[in-house]
Amino acid sequence: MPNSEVDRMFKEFIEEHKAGGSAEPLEYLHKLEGTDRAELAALIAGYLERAPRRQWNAEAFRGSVAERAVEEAMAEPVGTVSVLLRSWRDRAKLRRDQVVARLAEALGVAQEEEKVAFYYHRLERGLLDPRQVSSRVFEALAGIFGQGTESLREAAANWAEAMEGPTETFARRTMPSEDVEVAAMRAEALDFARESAPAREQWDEVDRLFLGGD
Amino acid sequence: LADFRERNESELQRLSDEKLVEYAVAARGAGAADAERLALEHLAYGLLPFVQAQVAKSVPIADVEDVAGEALTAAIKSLHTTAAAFRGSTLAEFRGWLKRIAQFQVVEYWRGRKRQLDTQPLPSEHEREEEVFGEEPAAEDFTDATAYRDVVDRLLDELDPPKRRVVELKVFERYSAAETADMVNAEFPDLNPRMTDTNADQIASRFRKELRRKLDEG
Repeated sequence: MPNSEVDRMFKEFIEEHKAGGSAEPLEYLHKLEGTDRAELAALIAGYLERAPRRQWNAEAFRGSVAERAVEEAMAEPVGTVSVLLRSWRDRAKLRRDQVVARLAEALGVAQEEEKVAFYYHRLERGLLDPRQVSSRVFEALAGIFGQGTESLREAAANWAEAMEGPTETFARRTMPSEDVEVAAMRAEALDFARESAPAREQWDEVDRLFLGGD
Repeated sequence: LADFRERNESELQRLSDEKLVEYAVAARGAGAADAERLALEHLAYGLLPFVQAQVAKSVPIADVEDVAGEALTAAIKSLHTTAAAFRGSTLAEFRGWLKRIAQFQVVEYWRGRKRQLDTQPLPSEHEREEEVFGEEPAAEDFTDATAYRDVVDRLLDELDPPKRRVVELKVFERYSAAETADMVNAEFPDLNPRMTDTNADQIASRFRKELRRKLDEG
């Protein structure tokens, strides 16, 4: 038979949660021990998995574990041009090929869409130094996504700052730990991209837009 | 993007988790740092109890706050720094995502404990000194991330969809047996025989007994 004390506390927890109270699971769990505590934890977890979020309380938030979590998270660099572009594209619900087509047209190189796709892909994947990218490209992208160019410039600065330090340190500061390996692979790919870039005297208009700066 | 509009606290409260995440990502994209922060604050405060309860299922209570705090920080950090951190579109997907992060943190916690225990005496060697040495770790090995499944999930997975739904409604959401039977019959129109109040009660009761038994086993 279900334990009546566990049931009573579970019911109280739900009532407090539904009434908009702080509903702190630990306050309830501390009142029980052993299997009773484990059972109450399982029931509360099962309930909260399906229930609405706890109601916002600005006063209770101050000084809480939740506030510390947000402070720590917000201290992280917002990210790079690649993070920003993916965020904008997600929001705008545009496929990459749609962005590329608009970008090529905006830059006046519609006939070179394939090459623009190559560079845009690298920019979005963090495989292209955004400091080399012409401001014309940033302006065109900002226009496509309905944004100002300032965010892209800031993001490019983040990238520049990050690249001054070791790649792994940057990755640990900007990414979930499981992505660190991916960042290391990206750094290798970036090195390869630099080495395999066409010689300056062979650049065409598209190369200049994505590698020539200004 | 150009039409991004900042929302006030009561509007944010009404947004579902997944919409709130979408809003935070949009705020960041629009360069509205304060709006992004407020959205993440709502998420963190609103979901901290969920993360704590998930962690409390597998971690000694004295350490729950710390482990849950680390899990919550990892989740919020991921949402802040990675545009594609969460791509789902339903509450179940978002809570599932958050639950996996909490479970990952639980596994990390037990790995750390295991390393400590390899070099330190077990708490049972210091009976009646639990406050100093902490509780004995659970008998179950939580250090294998790929094998980790909490007991509730395992028990739910053993049930067929209608019975699972009965448990969700009757045990976790505390609907009455009659309400549960009605809802299950509506969700599974081809269910034969139809769910009855008595059946719903029996299924819920069996689940609770089995849960208790598994928890007793440690």
